[in-house]
Amino acid sequence: MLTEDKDDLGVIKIHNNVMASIAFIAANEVEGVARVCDDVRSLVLRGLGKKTLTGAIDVRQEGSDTVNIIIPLIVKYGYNIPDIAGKVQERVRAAVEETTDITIKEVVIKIKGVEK
Amino acid sequence: MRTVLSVFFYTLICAFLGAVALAVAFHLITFEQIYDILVFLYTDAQSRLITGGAGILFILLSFAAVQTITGKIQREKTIAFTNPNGQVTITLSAVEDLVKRLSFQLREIKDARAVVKATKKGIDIRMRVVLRAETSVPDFTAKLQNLIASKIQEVFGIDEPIIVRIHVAKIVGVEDKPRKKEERRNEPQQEEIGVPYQGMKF
Repeated sequence: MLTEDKDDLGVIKIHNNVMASIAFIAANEVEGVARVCDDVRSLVLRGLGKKTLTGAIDVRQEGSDTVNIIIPLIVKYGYNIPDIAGKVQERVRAAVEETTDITIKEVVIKIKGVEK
Repeated sequence: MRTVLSVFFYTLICAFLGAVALAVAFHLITFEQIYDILVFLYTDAQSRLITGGAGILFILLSFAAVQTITGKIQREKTIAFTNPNGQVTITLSAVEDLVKRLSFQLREIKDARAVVKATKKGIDIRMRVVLRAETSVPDFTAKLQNLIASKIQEVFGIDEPIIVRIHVAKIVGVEDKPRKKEERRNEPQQEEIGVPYQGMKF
């Protein structure tokens, strides 16, 4: 589950968790996002006192150099959801593409709940 | 992967039970053999440990299977639209959350429950509310229907028609607690009785 990039000096491998972490941070920065949903793994790790920066974000390889990112979100009450989703998609795409030079095919947002 | 595991688990269990039933029916296993196996499992320490471990594993696997199945059902209940950057799906539970929060903003509502379904005709919201007394039910329900429909269209950006059905389950009286608290606050506080010679030192 690694994205590879060949260089003159060798191979650069970027793990999917790295992209998930970038997406996690970028998504949390958007106003109106309450939080990114957690999966069982991150809940267990949090219970053990370890912080994770991936939540339940799923990064799926699509071909050799493109990926799909699936982000489950809880949004804050009172915000327009399509606006928030659009902003998160843009922010995540920009952040991941800028930092890793990997092309994002799709950023799928799943709104799982509304919080205050 | 989890779906495959749970399907495999249930297939294995069903196949085992079927085989045992057939073996009993055709007298392939004698009663003594079954008894011996059970006695061995019951008395031998090591086999008891293995049986216990298998029991725990089976329980955990069955929980995982239930989670996978219900998770799949939940996953299907979504409203989806596509942006230039990708797809956006909104779970119906998020819509239910929003409806609840909207209704609790109104003073007239004491309790509210909402069930949201996405149908071909549009989004069907069924609400069960408990209202406080002194509320004009027809006016209030009309107001609530408009509020929910307009807010959901605004927040989710949905163009589909939104049908809001309200079922007033109960009308409760105005609570006495806040009134009593106010009364207590308004009561003149009794002057503290001073203890004679309180500050004196001998």
